[in-house]
Amino acid sequence: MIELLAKYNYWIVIILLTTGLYGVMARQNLIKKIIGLNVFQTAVLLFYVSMSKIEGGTAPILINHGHGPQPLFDNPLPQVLMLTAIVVGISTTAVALTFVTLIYREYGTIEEDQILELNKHND
Amino acid sequence: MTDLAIPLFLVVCGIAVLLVKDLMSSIMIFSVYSLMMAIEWCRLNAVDVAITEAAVGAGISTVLFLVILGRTKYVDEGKKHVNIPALLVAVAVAAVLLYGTMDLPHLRDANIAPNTHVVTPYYLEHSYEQAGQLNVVASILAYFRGYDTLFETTVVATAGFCLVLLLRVRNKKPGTLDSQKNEVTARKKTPASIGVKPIETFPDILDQDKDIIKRTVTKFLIPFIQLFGLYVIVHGELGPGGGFQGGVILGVSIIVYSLVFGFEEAKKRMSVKTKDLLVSSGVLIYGGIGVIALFFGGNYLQYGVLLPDPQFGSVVGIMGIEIGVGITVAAVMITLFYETVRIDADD
Repeated sequence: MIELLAKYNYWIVIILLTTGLYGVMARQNLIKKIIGLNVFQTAVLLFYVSMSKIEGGTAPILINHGHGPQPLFDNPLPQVLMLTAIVVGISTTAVALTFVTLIYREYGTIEEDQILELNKHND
Repeated sequence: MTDLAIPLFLVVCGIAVLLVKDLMSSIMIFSVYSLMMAIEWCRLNAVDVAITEAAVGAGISTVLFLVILGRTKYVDEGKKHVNIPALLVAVAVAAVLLYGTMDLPHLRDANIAPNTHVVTPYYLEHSYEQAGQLNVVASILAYFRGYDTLFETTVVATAGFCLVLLLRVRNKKPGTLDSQKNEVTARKKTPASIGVKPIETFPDILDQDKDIIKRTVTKFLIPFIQLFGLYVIVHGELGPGGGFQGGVILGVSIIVYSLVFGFEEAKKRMSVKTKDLLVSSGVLIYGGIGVIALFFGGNYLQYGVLLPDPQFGSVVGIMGIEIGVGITVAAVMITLFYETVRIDADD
């Protein structure tokens, strides 16, 4: 079990990362592209947080007011970095979605191929 | 077993999100994906991350996607055939990454570099003594890596400003340059002429919900949501929580109110102007506490000098900046919702 788990999350991260990347490249719908980007992002978060887990460790919150022997803690550093990354991620997603609505108002569609076709005709 | 099953379920959701044709289902599956991700963070003992993911991923981002879907009113008409070049690139990237994992250390091992490098043991050891925080995540966030968090908060606030700039200033008056340009486009090839079919089945999010059950339950729940949000902000010192997590929960309470009682009612509780002011005042509180520390003879963001007892000074300073972060994050979450909902609403 431990041997399997030693690399398991890496594989999951790679599959999710690739799925997100394929979604961004291949899907024509702009909202789908942004969802793909979000999947890509969570894969990166998962990679970092997987690193922070230690077998037998517990959440990094000190006991007995920091005095005396402490249990084995998971690594808090990746958790901090990913925590802020999630909040920044939703903010940037919102900006991206705003661009989608602006594109919709201008073109009347959010399909990439149709936008390109309209561009070709209206130049 | 759950350690294996939950990531596997994530993969299933991740693939399904991109495969389903209907955009609505896609967004719902993405919401489930985020919720599972929150459970996975719990399994990995990243409790603070889990709180944030549950509120942001499963809550706000779903609402945001649905609002935008309601504004654009389109189904995914993309061709279903497989994009071969894209697939090849994706497989190549996967192969390179897979080759890369062979050199990566084994996960769950306490002796690998990320866990034994000098900083992490230092943070764990000095968290209480220097920053007065029992939750090591909070002490790293606000004390050891305070600059980092200051600029993260600024990035969040900037995203809020971006939305305001992009959405509020456009098409204010008829006859401006913008509307003239629209007329010119209208005369040429239109979306309808190349086969774009609009659908208009979405209820308007601006309207009130007349359902008595939803209204009563929301009225009952919102004080508790807000109380929990405040608790999460101030409790960051002792347990899971902090400004980012609590701020998101506070933001959600206003969004829920607006969804059920309508945008007009929500504006009476939290006006657009107040919200704009709060976005920048949170960053001001954070930066201001740093400047106050300078006047007390310390370095920027060195909270220890604020009070005679350095440890207690740190506790007070960190509480202050957590509140600052909470205000900005809550206000930006409300901004994301307000500005996207208003797109077709005013003028």
